Amino acid sequence: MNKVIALLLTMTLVIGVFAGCQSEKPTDTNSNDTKVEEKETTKEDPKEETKEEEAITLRYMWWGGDSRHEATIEAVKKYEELNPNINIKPEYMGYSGYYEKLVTQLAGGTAADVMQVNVPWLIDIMRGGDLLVDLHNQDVVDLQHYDNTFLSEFCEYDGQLVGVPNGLNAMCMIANKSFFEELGVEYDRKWTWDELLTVGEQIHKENTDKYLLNQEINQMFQFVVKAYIYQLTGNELILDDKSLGFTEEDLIKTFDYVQQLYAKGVIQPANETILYVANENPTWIDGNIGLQVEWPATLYRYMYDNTDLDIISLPVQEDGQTEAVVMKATMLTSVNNNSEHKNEALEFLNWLMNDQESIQILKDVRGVPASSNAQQLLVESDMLNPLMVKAIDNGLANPFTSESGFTNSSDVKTIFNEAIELLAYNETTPEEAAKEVILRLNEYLN
Amino acid sequence: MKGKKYEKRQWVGLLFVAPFIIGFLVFKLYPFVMSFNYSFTEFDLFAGAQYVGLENYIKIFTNDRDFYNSLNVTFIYTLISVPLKIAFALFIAGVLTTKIRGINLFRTIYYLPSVLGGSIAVSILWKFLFVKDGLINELLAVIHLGPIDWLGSPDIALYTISMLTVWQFGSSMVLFLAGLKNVPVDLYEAARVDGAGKVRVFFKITLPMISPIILFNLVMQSINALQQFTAAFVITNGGPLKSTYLYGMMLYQQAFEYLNMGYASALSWILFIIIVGLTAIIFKSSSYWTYYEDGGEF
Repeated sequence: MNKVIALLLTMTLVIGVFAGCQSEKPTDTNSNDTKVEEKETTKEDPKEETKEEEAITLRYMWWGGDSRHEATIEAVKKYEELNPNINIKPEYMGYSGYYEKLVTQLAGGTAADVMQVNVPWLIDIMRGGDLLVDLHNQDVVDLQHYDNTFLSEFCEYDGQLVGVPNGLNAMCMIANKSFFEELGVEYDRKWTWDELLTVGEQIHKENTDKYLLNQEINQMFQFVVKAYIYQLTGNELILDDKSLGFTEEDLIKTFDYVQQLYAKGVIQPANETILYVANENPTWIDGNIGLQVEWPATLYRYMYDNTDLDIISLPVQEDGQTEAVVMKATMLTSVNNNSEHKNEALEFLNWLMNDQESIQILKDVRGVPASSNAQQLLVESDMLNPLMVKAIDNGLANPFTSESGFTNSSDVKTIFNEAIELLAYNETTPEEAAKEVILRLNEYLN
Repeated sequence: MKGKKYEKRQWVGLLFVAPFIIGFLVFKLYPFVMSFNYSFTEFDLFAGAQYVGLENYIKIFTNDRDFYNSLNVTFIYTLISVPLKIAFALFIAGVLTTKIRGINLFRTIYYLPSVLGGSIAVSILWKFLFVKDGLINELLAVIHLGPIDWLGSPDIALYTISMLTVWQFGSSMVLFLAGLKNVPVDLYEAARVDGAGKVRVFFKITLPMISPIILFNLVMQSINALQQFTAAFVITNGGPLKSTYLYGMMLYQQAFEYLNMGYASALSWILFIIIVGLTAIIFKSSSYWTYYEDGGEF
């Protein structure tokens, strides 16, 4: 027996060693190649040996799904091909956990050279000072194809342009066409929030396994509560002077609406959805849910084999202050201000955002591009998903100012999410929840 | 001459343990000391630390919405998972002492969950087993039971998570296996000659003889359980309604989501003191229920 174990252990070790070699081999040869090339160039023109020819490694970090990962890696490879002295190390992951990783790295001084940053996070990140390069103070990244109002309203923090917007996002509803065709319900129209309630209740009553709306509890704040309050009041959630942009009555009305969504079966019960992010909910995958309030840039995540998707505009209030749609930049791509190779990082960023080849590789994996040049190029070559274009057109026709400041802070999000969860589980009343949220918000803001 | 040689050998020894010592100093002792220091500061990860005295501790005990709930959840989790895990480990170890062919293979297989245990993958597997239309409910449906809302119900989720811990009984089992093999056979033979039944033999001979191992397992598993994080984080993210919001989860969120490092350090020191206290109690009580052949002198 001992011999057998010894043999097994030895084999595992040997295999491990070989596996180690294999995975390291390509990088080894790569660096060897570069070294050889360098040497050759030095031999040819020894005087022209400048710093630029040293191999430089840049780290590029982003979050996303598979389609985004694949396209971005392809773009990275292309750039490396064009710039043999630059080696780009992609660091990519899903959305969950990315924020925690990013802020810890930024605070610890180990962040990547180029990184994807979500605009709402700036309120938390920018406390750290000038961690990200202010693009107003450089001339490497060409911003002429970006709309100035968009940049100042949606991408700046305190006057600093801390990243290039990857795309436009305007809140919309993703609709599963086949769901409505099967039920014979007209979906392509302007819904009011109240209609969602009545139609949703009807649908669930007649088909107990079907629901009109797909919204995980954690999304309820962003996509239902915020949108509902904005349209009700015409205000941001938290105003610039740290006061609340809504009254207790507004909040009670909103929370009452949320609770009715659950009580009337418009939304699947919370205990069935709590374990899934919305696009992985089996009920959605099986085609038994009709609508999803979302950012259009996430469209690809909701596509499955049997789903035929469409995009329609956000529901409106019958007697609201505004019908405007919340817009934001899908995300920014920023350069680390403490990067050792800031200039090379900016050059890479410029290529990524403005180069024809890069635009055609990346297409709309980060939403409809914010640069007019990129938009035009992709439209001409028919590479944009028409649904995403539709969503952006809807938004641009009636845009709401961006969310900014404390509305985006993670503390505010938590305060609302906890209240919404209690409502979803029917453990509190809208009145109690509203009181508690206002109390906690004031506690936090002061 | 002799002395010199000895010194040289000492050097080599130190060299061999150096990786551990350096690792311990840098990654354990230093953070340990610093976290105590930080626990008296308001330490925003970006803005730096500022001394605030006992403010963090006062806030935790008087004005924290989650502290008592998390403590409660963590204690319940420990109370369920640790005794069950130890009992289960002992039971399986007992079964695995039988002399059949290929017993070592079985021992290895039963140890596997513990090897995989702490990993994210197993937690995700657990999630898929216990979701509403997961395998467990499908099996229950065969015998016309359920479906049970294993993870979506605030009343049940914590127990489901505890089961994951119980399933990872391997390391305790290995210790029990070693312990069971060390119980002198003549004691069993003498008991049998005197006419003792199997149950009586177990309680009067086996249990006392392996009680030191039970003590060790109890201490180690309790310490682990109080610090549990992965399962709750991956499977339920502390929900629903904070019913699985373990202390470790709260700590993590304070530190990495709200970036309150000082506050999180204070929380971790409270947990540390609780663990020390609990371990002391277990040790103190052990003199009443553990039996050492050599009289228990260390």
